[in-house]
Amino acid sequence: MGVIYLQQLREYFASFRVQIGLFVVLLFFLLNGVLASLRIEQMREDDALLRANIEQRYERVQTVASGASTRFRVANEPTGTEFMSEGGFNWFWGSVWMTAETGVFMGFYYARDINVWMDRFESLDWTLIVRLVLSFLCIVLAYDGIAGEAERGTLRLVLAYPISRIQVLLAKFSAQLTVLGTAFVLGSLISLVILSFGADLALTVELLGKYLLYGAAVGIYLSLFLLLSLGVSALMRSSVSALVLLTLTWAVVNIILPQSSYLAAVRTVEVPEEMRSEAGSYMSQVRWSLYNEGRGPRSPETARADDYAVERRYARLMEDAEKEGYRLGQVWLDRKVERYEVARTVNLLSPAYAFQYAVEALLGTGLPKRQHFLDQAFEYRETLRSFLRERDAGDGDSPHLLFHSEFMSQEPLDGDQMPRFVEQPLSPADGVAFSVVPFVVLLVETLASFLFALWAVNRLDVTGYAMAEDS
Amino acid sequence: MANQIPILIRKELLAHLRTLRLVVALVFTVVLCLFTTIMGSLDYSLNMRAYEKAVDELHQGMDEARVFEALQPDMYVPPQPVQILCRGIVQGAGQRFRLFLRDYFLGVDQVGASSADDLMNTLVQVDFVSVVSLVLSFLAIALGFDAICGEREQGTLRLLLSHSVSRGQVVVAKLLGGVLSVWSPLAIAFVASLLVMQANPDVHLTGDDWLRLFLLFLLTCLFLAEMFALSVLVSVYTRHASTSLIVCLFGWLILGSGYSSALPAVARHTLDWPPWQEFIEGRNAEWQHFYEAMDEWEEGHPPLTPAYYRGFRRDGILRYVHPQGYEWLDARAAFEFDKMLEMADRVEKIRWQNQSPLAEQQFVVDEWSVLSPVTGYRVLGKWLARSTLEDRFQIARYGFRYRESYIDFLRARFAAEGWRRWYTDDPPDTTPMIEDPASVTPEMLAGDAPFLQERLAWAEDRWQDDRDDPRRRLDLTGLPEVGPGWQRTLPESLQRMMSGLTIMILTLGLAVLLTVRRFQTYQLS
Repeated sequence: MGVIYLQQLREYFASFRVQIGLFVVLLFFLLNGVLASLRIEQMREDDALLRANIEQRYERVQTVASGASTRFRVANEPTGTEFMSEGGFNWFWGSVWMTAETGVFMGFYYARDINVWMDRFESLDWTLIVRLVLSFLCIVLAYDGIAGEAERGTLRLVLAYPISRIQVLLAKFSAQLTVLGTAFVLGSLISLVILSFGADLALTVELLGKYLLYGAAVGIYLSLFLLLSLGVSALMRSSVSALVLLTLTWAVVNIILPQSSYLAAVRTVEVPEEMRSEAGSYMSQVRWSLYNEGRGPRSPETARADDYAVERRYARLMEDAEKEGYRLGQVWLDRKVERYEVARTVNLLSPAYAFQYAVEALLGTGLPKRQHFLDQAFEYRETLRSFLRERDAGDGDSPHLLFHSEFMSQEPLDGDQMPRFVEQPLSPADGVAFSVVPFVVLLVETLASFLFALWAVNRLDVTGYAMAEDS
Repeated sequence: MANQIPILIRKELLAHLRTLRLVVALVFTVVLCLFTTIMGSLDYSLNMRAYEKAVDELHQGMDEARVFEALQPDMYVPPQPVQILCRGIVQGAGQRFRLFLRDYFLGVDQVGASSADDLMNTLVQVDFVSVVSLVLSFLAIALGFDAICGEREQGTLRLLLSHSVSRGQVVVAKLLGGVLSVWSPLAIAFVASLLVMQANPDVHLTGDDWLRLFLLFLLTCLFLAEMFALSVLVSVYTRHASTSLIVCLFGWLILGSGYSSALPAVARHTLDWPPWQEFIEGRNAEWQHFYEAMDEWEEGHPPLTPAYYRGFRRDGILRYVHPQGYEWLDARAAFEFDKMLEMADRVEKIRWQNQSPLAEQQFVVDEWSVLSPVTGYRVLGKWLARSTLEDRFQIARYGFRYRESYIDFLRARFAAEGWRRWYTDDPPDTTPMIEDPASVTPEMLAGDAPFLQERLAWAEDRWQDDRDDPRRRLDLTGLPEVGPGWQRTLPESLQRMMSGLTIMILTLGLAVLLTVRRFQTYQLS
């Protein structure tokens, strides 16, 4: 078996297809390194503006009351591994606007500059290269792994040796995996070198850990395509037919199926446009109806006379309205995710996306990061509120009508003292938890293609091969 | 001699049609095209519903508007059926130009719920054109890569040339036979897709649409012929089918998926663009100027006491104000209207400076796409389906002219009837809520003062009687209508396609020419 392995390996590295394949892979990684460096440079400028904009808001705070009425903004942080897996970092909401004031819903938007004028395109990250280019290289390497030898008649010779068919299969498979592994390692190193010089990427132990995890996932994903190709190669009577079938399958699972997930999701879960503004409009409706009924707050001077009786009732009613409003907002947010989950489930059928979702979760990006960030944004509003509540409680003159800034403490407050938002990255344990499902899908699919390859090789009848194709 | 060609073509065609690769590709193509067209057609219906709903709401809003300030006759463009096959940047949705007077933007947005969804925006969408550009182009390669060198290796080429046919005839017949073989699955898939579209009751194809669909079919034929000719070219320049195959495969990968992934990323990250924050600051400054101008005007035209302007406000509209108060408010509205439009123009200029480099990135992608046959075909398809960014701007530019005509309409109306209609629906003879404002003290106007409460109660009663007064309805005769011209005509679309088409035809011609030339001296052994 070892002999076949070495023999295959030598043959591959000497072959035209591997040389051109390696060249293409390295070209893509080179492009990835250059583009990612440019992107990181741009993001440093973007982020300086973003941080300044966020800080300005705290500088405007003068009193406890103005702390309650100021519209603050929080933003997410890059994971630093966007060049490996962008994971929706540019397109998912990364910025939330909020105020402590009762009855105002939060606003969500992108954190950094995006280009809404462009056709959607996927960022050229490692994941895209692995998903498309390396998996295609698997097919190019393995489509004639069995059928080609059968056509040339050498398969009979190989099988004449005292080794089992499984051993032949495994020897070929490991030689191919070695070639692909070499392509990935060389390519990723090129990308890393460019990034470390071009964008001062720090090569830390943490990054090494992520790299190894990533490499393991790449190994599983490529094994799947290799085994599938070898299986089809053993099954088909001609190598060209095997190639056509494999490439079309590749195009379907890697490109077309994922692209139709959008249509599937839109058809399955409806998110009416009204839902987007429902939270805000519900709360302002309650506010206006209270005003119209004359139960709205009066001027602070008038209200003081009867110890804020009307205002207290107003605050109580608005408190309930806020609970309902935030519930409605949550329904909308959940519904959006529900729709997206349909698309993800369709995508998950494709090993390419099983791989992508697994590495996204492991690298702490993708949908898990978005959800984690939004949860933290909601928590931060609570943090802001409890800070202001405490400061307001310390002022004896305040009417303590909480989060109606007109009826809160006028004591001076320095914005610098207010708590700041810092996004906590997804913990490794959570990342692993989120990657379990896609990983299991990927492993099951890999195992299935292994069994398929095994079955196909064992049922192979080496005597009946004709030399020509399709006859 | 010449009548040998049909025989040779027939031989090629039959040889291809019987192969497993063609059958596999045919099944894949038809199934995938049907699948994407069905999904696209269903999505078209969803988009149509969203569009109809939006238009209904627009009409309802216009019916209910009582003052011109609240009127917003947005321009709506329905989803286009041809875009089911080529969704492009408009994603097959209806489009809307929002007619803001205060703050407009030379851009359009999509009508439909999923258009502004951050999650859904990350998903790339599929259509007929993208399926064909991948699957059928691959078939063209799979049929063409061994056309010459494969037959040489098998020894059949020598046999073929031993007959009394010229080399030129053989190679032309090979090209034609192969192209016809690739066109057959295309024809089936295209007809199947058309049938799916026709089965959808929401789809109404106009003559122009049929013409565009026909041209899309021709364009696809041209594209497949180009891909096939290129792979035969590789085949005639190589000695072994296996080498030819590898060159073709990697060529296909790079020209298709590789180039289409890399091009937008390169355009996005190598071209500079100004940060959005610059626009925000510029706009805030313009608003500041506007407020200052209004303050200045008010200093020059001091208002009377508040009692002259105290009216009854319902649904955002002020009513029952004293005639002298109205006089001042009219003068103010006239001034504000001009200032507002000036400001809107200036803000738009800043916004355009900020956004046009971003639009430029997409234009660069579209321009450079023609270099690769696969992306070139996709872009040409988008031009035909009018789903490029340029086509969106076409709608926006039309919307902008429509806005101008709407402003002219408003000016003419106010010149004839006075400015009151801008902000209130009180007819000229309305009894004011406070008939003698000179005698009213500030205390009488305090929130809970009995005088004010009594007057508000009067106005409330009065409003119940007045609300159905036909004179309060907004007279919209003469309101400009959205006419033709919001989208490109076919000659205009074709004009934009010229460079791409030229490159496509030149590539095809060059590939055929080189193949024929090289084959004359092709070594058989």
